Amino acid sequence: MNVALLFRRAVLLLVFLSIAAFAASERSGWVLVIGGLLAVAATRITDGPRKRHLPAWAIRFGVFVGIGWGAVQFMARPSPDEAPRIVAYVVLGALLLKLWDRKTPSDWRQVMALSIVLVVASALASGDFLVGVLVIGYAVATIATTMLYHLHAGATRAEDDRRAAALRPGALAPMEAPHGAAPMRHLRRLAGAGVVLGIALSAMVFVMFPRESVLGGQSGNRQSGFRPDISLWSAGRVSLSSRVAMTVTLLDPRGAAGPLTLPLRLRGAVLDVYSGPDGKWRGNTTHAGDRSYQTGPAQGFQWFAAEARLERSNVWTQVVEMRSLASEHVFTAWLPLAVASEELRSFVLDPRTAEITEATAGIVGRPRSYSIRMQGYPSGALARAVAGATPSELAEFPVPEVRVIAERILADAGLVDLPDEDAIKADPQLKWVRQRRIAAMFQEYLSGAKFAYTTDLSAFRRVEGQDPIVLFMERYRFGHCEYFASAMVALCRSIGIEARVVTGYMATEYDTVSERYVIRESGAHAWAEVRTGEWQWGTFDPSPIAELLAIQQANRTWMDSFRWVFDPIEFAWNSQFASFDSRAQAELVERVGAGTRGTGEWIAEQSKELLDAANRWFRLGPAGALWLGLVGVTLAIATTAVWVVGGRARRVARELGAGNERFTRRIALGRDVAFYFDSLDALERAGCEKPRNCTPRMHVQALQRVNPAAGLAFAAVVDRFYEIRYGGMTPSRAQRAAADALIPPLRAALARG
Amino acid sequence: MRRRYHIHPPGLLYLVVVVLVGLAAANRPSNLLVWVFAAMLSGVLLSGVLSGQPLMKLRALRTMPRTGRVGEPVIVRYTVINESSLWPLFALFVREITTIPGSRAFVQHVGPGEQVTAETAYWPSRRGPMRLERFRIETVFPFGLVMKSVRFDDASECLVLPRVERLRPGVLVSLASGSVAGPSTSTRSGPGSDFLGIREYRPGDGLRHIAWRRSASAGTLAVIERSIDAPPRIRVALDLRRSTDALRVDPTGRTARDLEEDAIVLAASILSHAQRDGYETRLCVLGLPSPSMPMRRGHWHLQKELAVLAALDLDAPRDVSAVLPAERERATTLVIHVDRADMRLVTDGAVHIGATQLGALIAPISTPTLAPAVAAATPTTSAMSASDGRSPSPTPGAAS
Repeated sequence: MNVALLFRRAVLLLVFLSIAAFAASERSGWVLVIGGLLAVAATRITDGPRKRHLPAWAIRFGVFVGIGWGAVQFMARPSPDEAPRIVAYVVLGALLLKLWDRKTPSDWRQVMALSIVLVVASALASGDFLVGVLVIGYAVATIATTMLYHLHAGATRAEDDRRAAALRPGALAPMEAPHGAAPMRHLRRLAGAGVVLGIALSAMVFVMFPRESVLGGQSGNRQSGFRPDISLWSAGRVSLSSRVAMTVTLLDPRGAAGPLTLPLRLRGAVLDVYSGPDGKWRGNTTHAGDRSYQTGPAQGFQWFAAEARLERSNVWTQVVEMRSLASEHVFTAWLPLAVASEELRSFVLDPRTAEITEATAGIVGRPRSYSIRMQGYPSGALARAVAGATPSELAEFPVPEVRVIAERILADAGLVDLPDEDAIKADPQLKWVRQRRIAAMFQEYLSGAKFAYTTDLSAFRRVEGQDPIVLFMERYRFGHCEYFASAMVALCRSIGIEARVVTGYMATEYDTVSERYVIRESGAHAWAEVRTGEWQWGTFDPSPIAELLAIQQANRTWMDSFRWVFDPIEFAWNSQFASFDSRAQAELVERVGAGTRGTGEWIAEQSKELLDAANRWFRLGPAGALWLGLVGVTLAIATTAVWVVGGRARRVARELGAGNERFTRRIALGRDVAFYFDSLDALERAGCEKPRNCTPRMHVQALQRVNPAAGLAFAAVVDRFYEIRYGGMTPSRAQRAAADALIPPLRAALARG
Repeated sequence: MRRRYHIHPPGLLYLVVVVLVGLAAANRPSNLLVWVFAAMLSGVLLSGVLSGQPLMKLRALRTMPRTGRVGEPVIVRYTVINESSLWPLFALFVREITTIPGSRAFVQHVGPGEQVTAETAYWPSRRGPMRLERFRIETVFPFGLVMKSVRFDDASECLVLPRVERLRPGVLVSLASGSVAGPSTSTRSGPGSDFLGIREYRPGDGLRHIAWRRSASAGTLAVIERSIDAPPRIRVALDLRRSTDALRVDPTGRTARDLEEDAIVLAASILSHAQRDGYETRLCVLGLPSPSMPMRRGHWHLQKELAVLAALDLDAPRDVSAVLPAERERATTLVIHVDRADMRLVTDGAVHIGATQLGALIAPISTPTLAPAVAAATPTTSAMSASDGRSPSPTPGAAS
């Protein structure tokens, strides 16, 4: 086998996989194409007949330049989220440069180490399905490549040693290389065993890894798709993936499917708590009034209120089929009235926000499909019935500067006919009119020409002591939907209008063939909800819709037409792997425990049934169990005896070369020379084992050199053994006993050392 | 046999990286990172299991030559036997646990139930018995994270013969000339040129050997018998009667023990060259116990003589009263002294050489490149010879 050639190919595969993983985490085809081409070119040229390579100083210079570039980038954007990405780019550059270097074992090791760092950085940056598949493929390839590396490096070092040690050419014969198909077969077998064992061990460690918090599939600032919270400081480039997250069929009250004229906004998470210092929006964590609903096959809709079941007008149905997204959040377009699913699931409704989450115990994974009954413009009574509690009051916005901005905007807008305090006192309903008008004004202000929508937030720098929302409105005036929605909510709440941020998806793409909305990750969106009634909340979206749609449309590629092929696999990945959290961990442990107990009980039941059946068959009467037990014990003893005798026969065949002799002869021989086997065991225990290719006489001589007494004792054993094995002697019982008596002196001599 | 796991620097570095990735996985909500950590951690366990377990079924034997020579590689062969019926072994290094400079033997693959022979070279730097006590087989396969080794206690010995230097051309002839060691006629019949006698014809005798005149006069066929040419003989006497402490130290800075070793090397070189040039040789060692050697010629005789020189223990007590026995056959007697020539040792007809003359007697040509370790360990006398450039002055009866 040509280890060097195999190893070079394996390293190229590793490098290519690591570049592909990084390209997938970056969602950049150019990284893959350019990096892959450079890697292939470097390998072809440096391993070519002329073995051209870059000088070492040039490579070192390039690496230093890369490190300098990385340092500058990090200083420009000193974000912990951005660091792995910068490191990955530096490592990628170093890796591609290193491929142009001369290839000693040390250089190969550096190339492999750099590719490992690149893969780890990719895993840090993204937990996407494609990245995961490439990382797992990389790990599998690493097992075989590392094995090849040690064969190759060992042979190279050995040759170097021999070259250095040989005084003159020809002092040592050329090192013999393994040949034939067997070494490759053995290597494949070992690598296969390594892969299987590695995956098993990895799975164990993965399951047992301590998880304090709920883990999501996404991480870092590679914002793509739905997020149940918002961090305004994690400035970076938002990647617009066209991966299909889910499909939604919207049925009107008559049961006919069709699109709406306006974009469909699917509510996922409601965020009403703002943490000023770190610029984060999150949902309220108190779940005191949450209500749980169980769904299952043929169970139909689970209604959230009795009034909702009786509601007949304007009740729409939304059927959600998850494709690549696995989330505990249930997406609804409007106020949900009921939920249904063909899966055995448990859904929890937060009546305060009408937010639904899935919280099924005992199942690892997320729901694949569900249906929602909902109403677009619910009456106050219906909304109250669904909420079932007094509406909670939202706290005032914690950043005072926003109030100044809001009052300035209000003053500049010059709203006329706005209900004043006296009018509101006279008619409390006017309060909601006032709030609606002010919110609409804020929406108009934010979606105006003063603000620009962009997904590139690399210039959105952090300023110490400044709130990101204030910076957005006063300084930068650019951002994506989360900034617009945050600003809208902040402005409203700063002047006492209750508002909250909602994250979810905006559906604009309708497939007329399948009659359903196709929701892509790039459709992830954030908007604002403002209280427009005692129980009603109105949707206000300050993001410029036209720009949003244009960006989404520009992001479509021809590859998106084929995404349906692996979207189901991706759902399984996200559902089973990426969303494996502490809850799933606990459930898995519970299931394993229950399974173990269940298996034990099943075995006991089956054994009892088998025993009863045997008793009935043989008609053994009331004491049948006793008789069957005796038969079982006898069978066990007989099996053990057969095993022991067979073992002796095998040993006779192996040690004495008597494989061709009859079984009975081997058994007899084993009995006659048992003392010899005992002596061999004693020698092995004492560390003087007889090599297989060494005759007993030769071993006696070897033993006499290190332990004359033991050698003498063993010589007596061997003499007797030769008489029996080759001298035709059939020992009597007394002679066997005499032969057995030769063993204690041997043991004593060996013990004396 | 004893299996051990060793701390390996790359393995330590890898563990540090694993810990860092583990910390990152604990702090960063990415299950993929957790899996990467799990895979890296399982790599450590696999590294110990995949090759550590098959090493338990490993047996090895060492085979080494009976003799070696200072400055020349001693090829040691190792037979590695994999007694496992399932697991193959890869990338095994075999290393002696000694201080003798040498390389490691490498075995790339041993299949289940197979045996493979690997070899390596050791460079003895001093004459005498070279004893190899134990060796170990080590591997970092498959991932290079944990080094596993198995130690084998297997003592074997090789007698290292003294170094043989290449003498200047004609040195031996000039040493032997003028003495009583010239070619002489033997009394044994053979394919020589001198007349030995006339005998009766026997079937098989060539026509060229028939003495026609004698045959004509006698009436029966007679054949001329010729004598075999007797080879020149040389007796090398190594004078080691004085103890090392009593020797006069060389002003060039070489120690007394070095001079004694030089004397041995000189004796070995002269004996080797004499044998190569067709001389019959005999070695006599004065002052140290050594077996009595006959005057013989041939490879095995030379090996015996060199073995005697190799086995000389210079720390043993010296016999100051030892005398050189009288030579019964015609032979040049060459006495090698360590420092001062003792002219009373041989009354006449002997050539006396000092150990310090070694540099002048050896050929001033560039020696082959020594292995670095050996070159560092043994200062080469050839360099000294090349620098002084003196011609040898082997005057009979004169010592340097």
